[in-house]
Amino acid sequence: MEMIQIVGLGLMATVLILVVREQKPMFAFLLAAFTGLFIFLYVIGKIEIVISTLEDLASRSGIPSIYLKTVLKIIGIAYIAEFGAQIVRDAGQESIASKIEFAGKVFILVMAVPIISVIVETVIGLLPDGG
Amino acid sequence: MVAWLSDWLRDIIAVILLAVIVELLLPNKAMQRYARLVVGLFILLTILSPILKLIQSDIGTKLDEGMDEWSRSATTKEVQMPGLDQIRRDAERLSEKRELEAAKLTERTLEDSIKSELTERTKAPVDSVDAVLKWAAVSGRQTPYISEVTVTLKSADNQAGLVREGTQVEDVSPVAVDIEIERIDEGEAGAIPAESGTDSENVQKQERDDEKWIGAEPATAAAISTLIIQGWGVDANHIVVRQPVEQSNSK
Repeated sequence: MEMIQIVGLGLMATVLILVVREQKPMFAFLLAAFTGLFIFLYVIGKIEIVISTLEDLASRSGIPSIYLKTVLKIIGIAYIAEFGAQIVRDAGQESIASKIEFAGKVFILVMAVPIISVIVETVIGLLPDGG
Repeated sequence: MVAWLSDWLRDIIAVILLAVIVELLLPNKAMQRYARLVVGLFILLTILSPILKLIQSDIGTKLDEGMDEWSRSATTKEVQMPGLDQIRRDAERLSEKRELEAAKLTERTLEDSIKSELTERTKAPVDSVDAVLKWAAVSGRQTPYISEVTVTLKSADNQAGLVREGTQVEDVSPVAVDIEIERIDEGEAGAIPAESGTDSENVQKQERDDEKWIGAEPATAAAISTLIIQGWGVDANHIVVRQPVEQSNSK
């Protein structure tokens, strides 16, 4: 049922945008942005179930909580970057959109730095002192 | 052994499941490559965990520390504005410094005014005036009061005829006695065991050397103290009038 609501909202917004775009391209963009924002926030509420399931899985299997935290941060960064980039792309600013995506990629890579440092330390500790 | 193995396998399976769900959740292909790297590192850590435990036991806490440090550095980089607490602390420190400066200035001007007043009124040969201010809380505010005034007169060398030599030597001010005790501890520690016969002689010499300050002539001292008491309201017990020992006398 919710899916139908969302698709209906999207179709309505699309028709309205097509109508308005001829007269006021600015309002068409605003309408598109707000529709996207609305659907995004609506679905973000639903994703909570998935995240709680993941937490349950992690706690039951004994994975360190830091793994799950990092993974969730990565997903969040990816979604926010993607969403912002698409809105900007709708407005026709392809270059700025790609910069936003680039920033998202950089932040995800920065997440990996502590893990990589731990692995490198371990490998160095593994090697004998003389060699 | 079997329990340990099953634990390890369960960990690996859980992490791989997590990785699959993450892949599903990610919005587009471009992000997937980067997220896959991080998740792959996690899987690597999990598979290596028996070896890691063998080498160093606290791999989880180390990872925690690394993450905490990273997130803390990220947040502190963003917030460069000092907080309200910081500003308040700065203000307190600055005002303390300012009050200290003000107290110093007050002391200096006070000393100057006492000195000029004394030289003008009593015609005494005043060399320097040392006033010590102390702070007392009066109705919630710190207010200074004069706790001690030390007036130093010029030595008898410089002022011919004003000081009689006979009375000088007996009047030893308490300040000089304090200094003398310290000096004996430091200077005579090595000399006493070497030749004990000249012990008393040494002490006498020491006494004469250290008597740098003596009480001033009673008449002058009284005049100066009454002037200070009248002018600045200092307690008579806290006024010290002294002068240096005449150099030719002590040799």
